[in-house]
Amino acid sequence: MDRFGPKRYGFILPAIIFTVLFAIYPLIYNVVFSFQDVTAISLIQKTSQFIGFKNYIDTLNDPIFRRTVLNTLIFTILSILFQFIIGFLIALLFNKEFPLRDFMISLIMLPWFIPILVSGTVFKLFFMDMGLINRLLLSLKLTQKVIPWITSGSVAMYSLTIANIWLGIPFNFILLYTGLKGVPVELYESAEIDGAVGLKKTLYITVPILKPIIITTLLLGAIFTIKVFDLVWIITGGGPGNSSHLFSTYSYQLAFGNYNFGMGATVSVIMILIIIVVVSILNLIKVED
Amino acid sequence: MRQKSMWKWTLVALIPVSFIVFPIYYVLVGSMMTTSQIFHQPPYLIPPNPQEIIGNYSRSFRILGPYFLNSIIVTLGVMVVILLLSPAAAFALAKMRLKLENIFNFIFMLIQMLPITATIIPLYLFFREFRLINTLLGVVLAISSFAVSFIVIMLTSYMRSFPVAMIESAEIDGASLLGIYWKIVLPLSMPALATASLFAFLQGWSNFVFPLTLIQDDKLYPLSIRLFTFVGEFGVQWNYLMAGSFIYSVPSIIVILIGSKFLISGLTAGAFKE
Amino acid sequence: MKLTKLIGLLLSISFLVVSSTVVWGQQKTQITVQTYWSLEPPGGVAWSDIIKKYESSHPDVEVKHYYVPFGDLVKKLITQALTGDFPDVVFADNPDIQYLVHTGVFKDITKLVQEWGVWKDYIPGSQLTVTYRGKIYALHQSTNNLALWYNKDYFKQIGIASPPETWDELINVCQKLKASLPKVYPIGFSARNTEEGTWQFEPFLWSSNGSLLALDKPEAVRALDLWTTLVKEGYAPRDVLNWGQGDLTQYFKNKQLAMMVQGCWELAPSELEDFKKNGMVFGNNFDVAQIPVPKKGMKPVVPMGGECFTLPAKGNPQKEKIAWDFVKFLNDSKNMADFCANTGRVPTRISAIEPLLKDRPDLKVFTEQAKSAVPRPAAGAGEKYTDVSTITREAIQKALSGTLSPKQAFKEASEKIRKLFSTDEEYNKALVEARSALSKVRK
Repeated sequence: MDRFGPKRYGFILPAIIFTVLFAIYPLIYNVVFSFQDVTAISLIQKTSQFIGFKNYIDTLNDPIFRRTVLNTLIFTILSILFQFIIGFLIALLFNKEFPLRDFMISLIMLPWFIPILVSGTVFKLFFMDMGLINRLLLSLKLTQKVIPWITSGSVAMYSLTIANIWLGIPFNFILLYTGLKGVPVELYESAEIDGAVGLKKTLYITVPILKPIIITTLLLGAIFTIKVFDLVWIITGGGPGNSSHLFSTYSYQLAFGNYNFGMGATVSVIMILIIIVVVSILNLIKVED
Repeated sequence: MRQKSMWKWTLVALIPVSFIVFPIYYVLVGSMMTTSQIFHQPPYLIPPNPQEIIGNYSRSFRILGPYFLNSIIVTLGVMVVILLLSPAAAFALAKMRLKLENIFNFIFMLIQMLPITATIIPLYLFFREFRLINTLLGVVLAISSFAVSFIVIMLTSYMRSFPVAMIESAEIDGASLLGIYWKIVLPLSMPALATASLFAFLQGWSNFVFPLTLIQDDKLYPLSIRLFTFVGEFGVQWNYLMAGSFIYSVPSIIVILIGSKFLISGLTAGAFKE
Repeated sequence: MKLTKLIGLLLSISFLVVSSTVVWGQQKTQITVQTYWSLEPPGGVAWSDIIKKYESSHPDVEVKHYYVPFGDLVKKLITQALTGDFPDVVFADNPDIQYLVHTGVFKDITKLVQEWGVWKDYIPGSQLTVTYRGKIYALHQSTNNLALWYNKDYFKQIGIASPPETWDELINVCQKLKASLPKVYPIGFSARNTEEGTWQFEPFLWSSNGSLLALDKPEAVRALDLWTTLVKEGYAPRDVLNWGQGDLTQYFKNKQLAMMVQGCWELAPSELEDFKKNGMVFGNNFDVAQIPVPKKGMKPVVPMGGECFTLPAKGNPQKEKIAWDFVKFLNDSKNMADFCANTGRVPTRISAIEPLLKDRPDLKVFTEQAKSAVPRPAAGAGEKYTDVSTITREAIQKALSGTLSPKQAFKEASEKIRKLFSTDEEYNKALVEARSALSKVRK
C-alpha cells in the first residue's frame, strides 16, 4: 500500500475535513462559550465576557445539575444492564431454528428503526396518568391507585429508563445473536459429551467465547445511552420540575430554554469529559483482555 | 414430529416479541380510533370502529403530504454524503498505514460519542455565514457531521478483516488505488455498506433536533418536525397524531423488514468486530 | 459504469437539494410573518381569513406565514436575533415583550405609532405591555383572559345550580363531582412547564393577594396549596403537569373534565361548532364563570393575555413599509373587532369593544375582566419576567409532583428569584412596582 504514497491520504481527507469542519470546530467553540458569560442578550449586544471558571462553579453548585448526575447514573446503569440481559436471553432463545424466526427478528429490530419521535410519543401516551398502562393495571385490578409514571419527580427517571431499555433491546439482541452464531457447533457437541447440559452449557461455554462481543456490546451500549436526548425530551422534557434531566437535555434547556448558552456549553463540556473518561476506562478493560 | 416441537419455540418467542412490538402495534390501533376511544376505560386494545381509520388518515395525509419530499431529500442527502466519505476513510484507516492514523481515529471516535446538543449553536451561527441556514442542504450536512464518524468506525473494523492477500495481488497486477477501492474493497463490503446505508437512512429520516433549529420556513420542514409541531397546533388530538406517526413510520418499517437480512449478514461478517 | 451511475445519482440529488432552496420567482412582494397561530381549520380560519383579506386588498403583496409551536417562539426569535435573519413581521406573546425588547429583538416604533395617531385608543394595560423605558416597541393586537368553564349537565346531575365562587366552594364541588361521577375528573388546568403553567396559576396567586416576587409569603403559598390539594385529592389529574391548554379543551369536550380553567379564545365560532358536534352547546350544556377567589367578596385578578405584532430590530428596509402596513391593518379598529369576534378574543382598542360585544355578547365576562387584567411583567419584574416565570413553574411542578411541599417549593423559588437581582435595592424596587400594579386593579 505504501507505494501509492501521498495519494492514500486522499481517501481519508474528505471525511476528516468534513468532520473537523462540521463537528470539531463547533465543539471547540462550545468550550470557548463555557468560559464566557454568554446569554442571548450578550450575544446579540455583543457583550459576552470571559469569566473563567464561574460557569463551572455555578454548574457544580446547581442542584439540578447534581440531580442530573444521579439521573444519568441510574439511567445508564439500569438501561445497559437490562437491555443486555433481555437482549441476551432473547438471543439465546433465537439461537435455535424455528419457524418464522427470521421474520420475528425483523420485528425485534423495530424499536431501533421506528423514528424516536413516534416511539417517544407513544410511551408518553402510555405513561400518562390517564394512559394505557395505568388503565390496564386498573382494569386487571393489579393496582388500586394510578401510578404517576411521568408526573412524579421520583418515578419519572425510572419510566424513562423503561422506555430506553425497550429502545436498546434490538441493538443488544442483534450483536449477541450474531455473536452466538459464530460459536462453532462442535464446541456445544463436545461439551454435551462431557455432560454439560442446558444452563451450564450456556454459561461455561458460550459466555467465555462471547466475551469480546459482550464487552463491545456493553461499551457501545454505554455510549449510546449517554447520548440519549430525543427520548427524554419528548416524553418528559426533563420534568416534572427538572427531575428527569440527563446532561444532554439539561444542556439543551439551559441554552434554548433559559438562553444561557454559556451554562449550556459548560454542561456539554462536562458531559463530554465524563464520556471520554468512561469510554477510555472501558476501552482499557477491553484491551487488557 | 420435529416440526411440531419447533413451533413450540415459535410460541415462546412470541412472548418477548409481542412486548417489543406492542407500542408500535398501538400506534396502528390508536390511529383507527377517536381520541375519546383512545382514553376509554377500560382501555381498548382493538379498535371498536375501524372505519375511523379513514378520517384520521385522510386528515393526516393532507397535513403531512407536502412534507414527505423534504424528508426524502434529507435522507437521500445524508446517505449520499456518508457513502461518499465513509467507506473511503474506513478503507484508509483499515488497510493503509497512515502517519496520523491515531489522530484520525480519535477524531472519529470522539465525534460519534457526542450527543447532538454539543454542536447545535455554533453550527447555526456557522451556517449563517455560508447561507446554509434554512436549507435542506444545511440539515444534511449537520446530520452527516455525526453520522459520518459513526459509519467510519463501523466500516473500519469490518474492513480490517479483509484478506490482505487479495489487495496485494491486485497491486502486483498494477491496479491503481482507486481501482482497488472500486473493484475489490467496495464489492467485498456490500453487506456492511448495506448496513451503513440503513443507518444513514435512519438518521436522515428520524433526526429532528437539527431541522428544528436550522430550518425556519415551515414549507421545508421534514416530516419529523411537522409531526412534532402537529402536537402543539391541535392541542393533542391523539388519533390524528397516531395516524400521522404511523404514516411517518411506514418507510422505517419497510426498510427494516427488507433490510434485516442485510443487517444480520453484515454484522455476521464482522461489521462490529472490534 | 458504476462511477457514472454514482455521479448521475449525485447530480440528481444535488439538483433536488438546490431546487428546494431556490426562491420561486416573485412578481409579488412577499412579506413573512411568524406566529404560533395555526392556519389550519377549524381554529385557524379567522387568522387565515384576515391574511387573505389583506392580500386581496393589496394584490401586489403576498403574506407568507410561518408556524412555530408556542413553546418555541421566543427561542426562535432569539436565534433569529443572533443571526439577524428575522421575518418581516414579528409576533410574540405579550409577557415576553419586555424581555425581547431588552434583548434587542424589536424595533423602536414610537415614531410610526405616533404618526398613526391611534395610541390613545389602546387600553392602559396594553399600552403598558408594549412600552419599555418610555418607548413603544409593538402593538398589542388582541387580548384574552381566563375563566372557569364548567359542564352544566354534570352540575345538574349533582344538584348544584351555580358554579363555585370561593376556594372552599370549589373543593366542595370537586368532592361531590368525584363521588357521583367517578369516571370524570372534576377539574383541569395547565401546570405545564411553559408560560401556560404560570399564566394559569396567576389568577389564583393574584386573587389571593400573592406576588410573584414574594412567593414565600403565606398569601402565595396558599394558592399553590390549593392546586396541590386539587391534584392530591385526585380532583385534577396529575397529567396537568404535562397538559397544555389545548389538551384541556380536548378532555372537556370529551366530557372527561367537569371544569377547566380556560381562556376565551376557545369560544371562537369554529370551536363552538366543534363543541356542538360533541353535544355541548355554550350556555346550555356548558358555561363560563369568574375564577374562584379565596374568600367571598374578594375580586378575582387575572393576567392579561394576547399577542403583539411589530417590526424586527434588523429588518429588510424595503419590506418594512409593507410590513408596517400589515401591522396597522391587523390593528385597525374594525378589523380588530372582527378578528376578535371570529376568534373569541377581546379587543385592545376601546373603540373596538362595543362593536365586538354587539357581535358576541357572550364574551361579556371576558371583556369585563380585561378592564382590570394585569400585564404579567408589570407584576413580575419587567424584563426579568421570563426568568421569574420559569422559576415559578419549576416550583409548581415540584409541588404538584410531590417532590417538595408547597411551602418548600415556593421558599426555594423565592430565593432563586431574589438571586435574579444583583442588589437588594433593585429587588425591593421591583417588589414595590409589582405590588402597586396589583393593588391598582383592586380598586
